Amino acid sequence: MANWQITLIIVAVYCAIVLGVGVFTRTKGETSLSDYFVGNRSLGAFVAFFTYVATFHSSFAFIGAAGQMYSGGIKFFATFTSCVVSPLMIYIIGRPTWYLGQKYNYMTQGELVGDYYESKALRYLVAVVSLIFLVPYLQSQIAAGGIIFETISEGRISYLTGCIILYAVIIGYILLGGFKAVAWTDTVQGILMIVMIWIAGGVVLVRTGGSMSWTNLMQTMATEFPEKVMVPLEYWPTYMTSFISLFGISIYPPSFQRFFAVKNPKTLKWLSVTTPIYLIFFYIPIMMISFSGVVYMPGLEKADQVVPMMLTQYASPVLVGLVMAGALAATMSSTDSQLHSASSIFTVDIYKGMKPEASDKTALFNGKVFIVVISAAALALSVHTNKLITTIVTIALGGCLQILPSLIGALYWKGATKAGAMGGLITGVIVVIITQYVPAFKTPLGLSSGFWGLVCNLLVFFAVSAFTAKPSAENIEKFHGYLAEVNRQCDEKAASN
Amino acid sequence: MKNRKTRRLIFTLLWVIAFALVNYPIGAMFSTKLEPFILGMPFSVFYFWSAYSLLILAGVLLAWKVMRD
Repeated sequence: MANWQITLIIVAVYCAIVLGVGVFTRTKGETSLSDYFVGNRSLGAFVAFFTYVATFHSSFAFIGAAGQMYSGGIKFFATFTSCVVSPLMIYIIGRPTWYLGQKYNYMTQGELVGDYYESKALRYLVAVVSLIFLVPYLQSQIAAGGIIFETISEGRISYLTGCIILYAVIIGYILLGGFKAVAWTDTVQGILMIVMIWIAGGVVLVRTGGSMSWTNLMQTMATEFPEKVMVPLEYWPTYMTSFISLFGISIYPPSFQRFFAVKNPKTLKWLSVTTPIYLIFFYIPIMMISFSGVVYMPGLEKADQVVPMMLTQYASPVLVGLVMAGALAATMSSTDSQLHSASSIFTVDIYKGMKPEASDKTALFNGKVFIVVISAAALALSVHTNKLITTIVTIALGGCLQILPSLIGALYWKGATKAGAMGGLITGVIVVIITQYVPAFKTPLGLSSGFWGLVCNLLVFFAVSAFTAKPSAENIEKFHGYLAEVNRQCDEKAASN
Repeated sequence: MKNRKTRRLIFTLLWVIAFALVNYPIGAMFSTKLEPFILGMPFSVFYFWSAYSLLILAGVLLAWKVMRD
């Protein structure tokens, strides 16, 4: 049997397993919106941990990160800052969100923000911004899936067919099991990813050059490619600010949805400081593979292909199959969350917003149809891009980050107003698009478009809020009064212990 | 309550110091230094892995000692 056939069989078995998880987790009988979109708010710590890290770690980790380390060396470590700092937002934003979701039955950002500012228009705006920036991320994931299938089949499965296979499997288990299927498949995928990437890193290190050890590899890097083991001085402004743009990962709808889904706020607290351990631990073998690639496979046309190419060259077909299943897991674990989240935004914010009298059954049917529609849109876009996955991801996260100020108003700042939140959000999104796509304004000072969008967004948000009407006193009390009471009770409990 | 405020201040400060290690100017001082090699890695690579590990540890302490719930 040819190597590519062995690899494909392993990948097929993996796809069958995740579909099986979808069947296993499906709800018998009628499903409510809360069940389908936030798993009845019953997510325990173990599954919450893996679904969060697997959603956070997409194909970006397996494919994009290795590509960046291959081409830019340790400049990529700037991403580590976001891996460590951004999850703190799980606590800062996630904790009050959890309490409000539990109390008032929210399932999406749009619902929460729209309710606080007493504005359906803002609810729709948040939903539309989320959907607009979900698509490029989806596109990047599906592109990665296409690359993986094309590489492991040695070109026998085309990029487009690979994308379609990936979508078919993901849509299959989401339609079957909703949030529970997404969370449990994420858990399987999260475990598979970390195990496989470590095995792959070890094998590549041992097989490249036979006696080539870690020390030798690093010494070769330092002598022949010193620019890849240093961060040049001129890169520091980017290094120091890139994490701000990546705060968007916690505001990003699929991550945000998990704030509503966990069983208790303690889970969120520990998620915010323990997810970086998984995330950083993941990048050690990625560094082994990409640095080995620099030494043994220099000049790759597409840096993103370094992991599949190195494995195909140096590992056994069985291992290639297993690791590629891990890479597919990384892609799928993010794609499923994005599709599921897009469906919840469409159903809860837009469909139910327009037709509040619609039954859960009808709303869910429309939400499921939307999954297929948005998949097709992302698939169509993925055919027309050859950009680095990392670049696409950064734009998507920077765009979603623009929802942050309106959330700050709802959760922390009583002075925020509807006009301020809307003005800030619209300004932020426009600035992200201009600083990303208009050549004359592209990423000024080397800082990301998400960063510039957020700066302009905050300026407008605070300035407009200073001169416009606040939400009603009852609504401010409904949110801030309730959260203050929760904090007071927590402090009293802590003081008595 | 005063005790809690002091504790919050100390652990937040600890986290900020760890954060400073991976930023300019401290991080920049070590990011171009290749010698000595430690654990087989150039100093710059070793430095960043260690500093980020410390930052994670500081975050865990922050959660344990300061954060509510």
